[in-house]
Amino acid sequence: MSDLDELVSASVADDVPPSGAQERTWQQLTGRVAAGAPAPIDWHPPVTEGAAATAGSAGAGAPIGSSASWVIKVLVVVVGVGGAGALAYGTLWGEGSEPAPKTAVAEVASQTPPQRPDEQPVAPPEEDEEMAGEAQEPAAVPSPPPTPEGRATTRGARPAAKRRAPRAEPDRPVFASEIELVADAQRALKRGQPRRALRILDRHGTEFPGGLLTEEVMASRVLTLCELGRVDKARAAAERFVNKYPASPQVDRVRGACR
Amino acid sequence: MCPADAEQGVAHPESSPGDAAADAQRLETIYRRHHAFVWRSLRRLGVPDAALDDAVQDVFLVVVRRLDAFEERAAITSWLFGIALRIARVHRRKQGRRDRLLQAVAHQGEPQPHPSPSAKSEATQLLHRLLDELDEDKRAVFILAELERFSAPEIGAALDLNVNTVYTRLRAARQTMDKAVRRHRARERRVKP
Repeated sequence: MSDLDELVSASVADDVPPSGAQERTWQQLTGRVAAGAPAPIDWHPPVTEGAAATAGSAGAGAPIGSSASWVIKVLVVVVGVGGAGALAYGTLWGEGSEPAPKTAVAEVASQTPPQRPDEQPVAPPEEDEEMAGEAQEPAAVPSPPPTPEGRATTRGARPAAKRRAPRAEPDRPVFASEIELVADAQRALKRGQPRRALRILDRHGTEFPGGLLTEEVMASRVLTLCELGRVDKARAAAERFVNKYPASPQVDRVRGACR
Repeated sequence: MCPADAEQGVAHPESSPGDAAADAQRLETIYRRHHAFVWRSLRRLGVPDAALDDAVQDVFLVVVRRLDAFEERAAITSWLFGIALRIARVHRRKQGRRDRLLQAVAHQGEPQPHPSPSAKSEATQLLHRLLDELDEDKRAVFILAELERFSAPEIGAALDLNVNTVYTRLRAARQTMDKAVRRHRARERRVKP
């Protein structure tokens, strides 16, 4: 075994999260989601009343309106029954349940001669301007999780999202605001309001230049333009999207948007 | 989706429309199941220890945002690593700015040490330091191949590479790492004869 292999073996055994990190981060994550990151299941079919009622009962009476976002529903289920749920999941999904190591490619690589020694100019995975700038970096300290009512209030106060300087809301992660903007656009699109969706999407470039969800915004723009009947523009936007994100899982969806 | 993911309950079970409980369970299942993977991937990708918790949250916020996307993927771990790669860039950049600021304020030539809430063994410290010497492309391949034991196709899926490129980068990464480890050991022997 080489020095490198020994080092790798020693490190693999050691490289585990500290005790309690998983639970602590889960609590903070749910807090951040509740604070304004509408976890978006916009691509899911709309909620049926029966399903909402089921979730409502699971949430111990927390209100779930027909327009409630997925994130509220998730929070009702996850946070609403969190006391028992966290404990149950902690038992079911302990950190020790990582998958067994998979077939090693390392050994193969060390034995297999290169079929093509020159490295192909593969586009670097998602390296572009969307990651630039500190403005979209999330706040270090997440806000405590508000109630679903609080979330509704936050949506009512959306003009705050017009700010250019993230410091205007120091306790609200910029990334969460970006997520909310995109979710708002997708909700508008689903409700048959493509003009409104496009206006929201247009705000993304100015409010979150180089945002993390640029890929999502570009895809949504294609769908929105299709809805508006602007097929030529939609196709041009789709082409730009595919060129920029050829490996995106949304490529097929975007390509077939105007069909 | 890989069989392992399906067995772990990560597979999308064609939940009924708007099944909030199932969605919540999926999210938490993914989180519980893969927290450790995301955590160590971020650390190996150079996220400072002090920022790890935030970075892990960022990864899973993206998961929340795109929960449906992963069912089209070969394996959720590949998808998660791709997200972690992007999040790690943000945090490394942020840390770089912070270091430069600290240096400017302190008028010191050496970067300030980062607080380290999670202890690292000597081996892990060394490995991470050596990983810092790799460029991001080779670093990602090395992590997935040597440390996570991903197969070449899985690495290709995670990093959007063809298999030949995976092998090419892995060989190059191994060569660089091998040399770096030998240099380190030689220095150790000189210091401690």
